[in-house]
Amino acid sequence: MDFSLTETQELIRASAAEWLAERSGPEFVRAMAEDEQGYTTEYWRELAVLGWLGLLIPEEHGGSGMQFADMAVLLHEWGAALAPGPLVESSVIAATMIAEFGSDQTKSRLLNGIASGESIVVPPSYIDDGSDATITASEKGSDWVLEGNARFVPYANSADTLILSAKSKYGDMLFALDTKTAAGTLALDRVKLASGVPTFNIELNEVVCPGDALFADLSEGLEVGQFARYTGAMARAIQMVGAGKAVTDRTLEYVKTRRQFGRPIGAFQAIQHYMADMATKVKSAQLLVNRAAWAWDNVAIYDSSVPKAKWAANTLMPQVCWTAHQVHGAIGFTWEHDLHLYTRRVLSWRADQADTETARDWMAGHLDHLDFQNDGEED
Amino acid sequence: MDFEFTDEEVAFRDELNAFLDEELPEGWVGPVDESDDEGWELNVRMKRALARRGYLTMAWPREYGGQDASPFMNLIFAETMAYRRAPGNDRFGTRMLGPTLMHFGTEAQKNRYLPDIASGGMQWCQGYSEPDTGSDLASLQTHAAIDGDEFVLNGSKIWTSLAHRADMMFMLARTDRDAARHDGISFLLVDMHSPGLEVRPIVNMSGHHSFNQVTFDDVRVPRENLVGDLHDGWNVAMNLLNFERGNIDYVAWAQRHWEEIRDYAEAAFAPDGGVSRDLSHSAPAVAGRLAELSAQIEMARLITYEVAWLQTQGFPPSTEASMCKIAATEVNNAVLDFGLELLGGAGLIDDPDERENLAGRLFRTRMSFTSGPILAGTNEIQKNIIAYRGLDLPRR
Repeated sequence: MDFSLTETQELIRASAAEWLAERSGPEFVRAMAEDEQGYTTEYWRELAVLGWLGLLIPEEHGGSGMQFADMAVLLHEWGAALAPGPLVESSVIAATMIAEFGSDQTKSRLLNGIASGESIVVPPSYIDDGSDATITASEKGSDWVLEGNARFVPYANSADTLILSAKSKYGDMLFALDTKTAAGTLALDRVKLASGVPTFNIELNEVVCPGDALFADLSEGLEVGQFARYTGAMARAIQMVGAGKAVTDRTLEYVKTRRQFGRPIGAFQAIQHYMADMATKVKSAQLLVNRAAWAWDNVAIYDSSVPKAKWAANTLMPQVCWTAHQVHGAIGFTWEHDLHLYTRRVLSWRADQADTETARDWMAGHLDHLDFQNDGEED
Repeated sequence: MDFEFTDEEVAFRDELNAFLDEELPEGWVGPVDESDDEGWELNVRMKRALARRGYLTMAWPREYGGQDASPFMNLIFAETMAYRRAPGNDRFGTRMLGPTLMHFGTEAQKNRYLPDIASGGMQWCQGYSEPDTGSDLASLQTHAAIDGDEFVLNGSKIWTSLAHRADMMFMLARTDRDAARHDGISFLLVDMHSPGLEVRPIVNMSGHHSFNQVTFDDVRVPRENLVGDLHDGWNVAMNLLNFERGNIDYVAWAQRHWEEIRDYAEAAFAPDGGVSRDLSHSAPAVAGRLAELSAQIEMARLITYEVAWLQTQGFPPSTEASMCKIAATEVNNAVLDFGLELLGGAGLIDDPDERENLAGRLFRTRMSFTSGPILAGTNEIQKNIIAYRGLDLPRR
């Protein structure tokens, strides 16, 4: 057992914290929540130069081929800073899907662009809004015709490529649709989402995509989707814990300076116990998230620790946020105070990839594999 | 980061499990009932067997006959013992007093007591709490007057586990009533057979005699039984408390309880599973709840593992130990509560003759573990520790 960060990870953590503090402060976060693109092109280019967009992309495709545990360190800081931009969408979920399941041609076509920041690839969204939105795919010669709609797709307006999940007579399929060249109509309708992330409902009308846009073998369609969700769920859990840590740190600072009854409110046991609870929740979820990231690299992507981590983040981090509002009192209830920015993101991430019900179902699905003293080799 | 045990650690766990298979009675489910003479005999026999194999004192330094076992080896030992609900893991002697004597004891004290602790031949109990002194330990009033070469003890200790089985007690007594409250306390070793010392049983809410009240009426204690400096007992005791908190036992118990309840649930999911209830219609809800509890156990376990890791790095794990105590005792009780409800009527059975079955012992187990969040520093005190030491919040 080793709970320490590697030297590389320590370096990523320090430089990410420093860079994000400078480039993605609260004013930038607020401005980007109103922005059409949701981030600036210059900011994205800087991220590419730092190498962060290609951390998980193999070296032969322009990335640095690092471990998920390394990316997790960046994602923690990314979540703590509420940093805008499609890092999780493009450089984590889409990049790993493509690297794991894409054909050689798809890899060459997309991975270099993701790493260099020249292209944004947006994977399917998994926020369940109860609608029966689906896309159907039908063959037309060597092409495919896509019809229907997808909902809650983040950063769809930035995407050069949209990975879309569609149903065909062969079953579930995934397409990597080039949005610039696709024939037909692709209509984007922005949803005003609590997080401020540009998010869209997409309507596809007779969108024709060439046969080589078929992303994965038909038989793999479902597995790719599950892979993407496990990866995405873990990324969201990491961001949530990062945000929860930031909220706890900010609240801690506040209770040490805010005075009532002639003393800092942090001297009152009621407040101290709130703070101890918040710190314990963040610590617990953090360890589970680390365990999941380690499993992604070393055991199995479908390790039970992944849904456990998302479930823990989903149940504990919103509690951390709401407690922070309570501890701040009226000031934490204002628009002007930054606290609600965290709460908005945490609640959005809770719903994404695996909401609490889904995470619980996934955990239950692993129950048969749970065995004490198995050294994490379940599954 | 690495979440795997080393090959050596895994091999040790296998070896310990094989030893327990050999030594524990056939079909052992435990835990031992220490108020029952037969149960106590088993405890003593196991303790001696653990001592013969060197397990009992593996955490001790080699110079005291130990093995300098790493924090992770000690964790595996404690985790496996607790998971198997095996008796004999002597926390008062080997885990608490032994290390304290090595640090603060005189050569004579070390020579006199360490070999008996290491062989499992001497049982200790801990005299801290008093009728008017619980969480506020420094308020203790039991008095030790100095009379020549002796102390004369008067007062009372309470909630003293195993006082009725112990040969000796390590305890705190006030030796200077005029000093500031932390400064007038001394750490003493008292023979439980001393004249004037009386042990009265207290039955806990599970119906089990696990702890006692001990009264001292002019009990004479030789001066050589003072550990550390006179009036410096608070310092000695605080060091000892660090040995006490943050152990893995509650996580392992929670895991074992969870597995037993999961097995029950799985049987109850089948129409003819041979258990008291048919839960085939609630299977998804029950599985979901089991899954949640399993995630909570995992979190508590990971904090405990981090405590061990911090020890390997030479960091004091004070905050994490408190977090772990809270998380582990809370999840253990949550698991037991869930089980009681799941078992329905069978979860309410409290019959000494039925303890072989989950249904016959679960209620009593839940009652017993009410003490978890209370003992060894209540969970509220743990939160204070997190606030003061971990978060650097002001005391006033």
